[in-house]
Amino acid sequence: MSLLSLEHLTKRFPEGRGHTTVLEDLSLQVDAGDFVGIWGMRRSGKTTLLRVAAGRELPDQGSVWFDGHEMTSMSPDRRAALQRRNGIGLLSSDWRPERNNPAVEHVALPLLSDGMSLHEARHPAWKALERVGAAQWAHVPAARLSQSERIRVALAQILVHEPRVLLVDEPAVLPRPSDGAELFDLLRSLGGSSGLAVVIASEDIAPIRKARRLMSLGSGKLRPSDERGTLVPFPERTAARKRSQP
Amino acid sequence: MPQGTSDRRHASGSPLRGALLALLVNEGEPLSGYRLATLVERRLGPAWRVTRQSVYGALERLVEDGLVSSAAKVTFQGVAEGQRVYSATDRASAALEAWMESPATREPMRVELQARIALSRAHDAPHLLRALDAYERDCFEMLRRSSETEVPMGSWVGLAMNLTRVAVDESLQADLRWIALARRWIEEFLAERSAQQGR
Repeated sequence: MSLLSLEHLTKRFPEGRGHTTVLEDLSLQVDAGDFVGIWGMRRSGKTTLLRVAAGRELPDQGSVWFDGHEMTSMSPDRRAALQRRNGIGLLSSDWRPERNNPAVEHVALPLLSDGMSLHEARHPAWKALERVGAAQWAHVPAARLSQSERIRVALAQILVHEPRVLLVDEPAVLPRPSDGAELFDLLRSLGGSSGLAVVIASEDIAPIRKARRLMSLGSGKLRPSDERGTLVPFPERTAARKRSQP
Repeated sequence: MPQGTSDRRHASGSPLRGALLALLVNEGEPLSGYRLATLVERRLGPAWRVTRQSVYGALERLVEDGLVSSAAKVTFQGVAEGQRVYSATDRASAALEAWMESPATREPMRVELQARIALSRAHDAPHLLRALDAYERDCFEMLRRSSETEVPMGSWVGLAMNLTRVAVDESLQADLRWIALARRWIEEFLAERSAQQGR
């Protein structure tokens, strides 16, 4: 069984007097250590797909399974618990720190709501910052971080809960291409080292170019690039082969 | 015809000719067709889909034009081997300069699927949608292949190879957008027609 399984999802939003279908009978399986890249135009439903996969929104039809549990039939509290320890993390590129605390405190914040003291939370927060190559900015106030540094702190804030699935919504295209390439390599390496499954949805192909599985999202459907379709054998050759067999 | 004009003419033509000429001039030593094919594929990237056959064809034409000479490879003992090696002639450098100096023009669009759509009829729509799916998979495959080789920046060759890769990326990105748009327009057309027929 897959770690995360989206089965026959349909999601509609009201539009004018009717509705618009954003996801239509969409299915996707994600295994541990997977690295999936989803390409889609603006307004193709990437954010909706990731939010439904993360349990932040419910589909109109279909189900989402995580680690053998059906998230779509859970209570909101249980679903929210999945955002915490060993669950599903969702990284959005529009992360803005609410307070101007040092980076390490921002990363520790989710652990405080789990009941840890700031003193206890600092160690795992440091570890998470180290994992994303941002330990050197641990004491820098969030407002003084560059966009590239801020994304890494936001990533550490998710990794501090040691998720098993990391969903990345539209990674920002960073001003310097080398910063972007380093970030995308980091996202890829996170999966390789720990079995963390990474799913990136992006309008730009740069963040997903090294994904193990590439697919496109459009008209509510996912189209995997590794599905070659049915091969129809050339009739005469097939017949000749049959004749030559004893 | 003056020699310079002739070399200018020879330098134009397929980019593969120019690339082979550049490699032979810049490497400064005889190279086998196999080695040249490997080098040109590495420098241009997999998106060019350079075949061995096309390399040998271009080399033959460069030999005919007097820009490249070919000889049997000779071992250290002075014995001729079966393999042929190619070298730049005295005229090659001027031809290469002329190629680099020549104005670049936008190549014509020759995507077979675009021609198919241009000449299609409404009842071809389902075939075109399947063809768009296949074309999209091809784009993703090209993206995957062009991501396999990475060259660090810092040197001129690194910069040039990365620029070539980015050109492929940008072109693939545009293709993917066009595919998504074509799919949407065709699907909307079919839905509209089906609604009209239902009324």
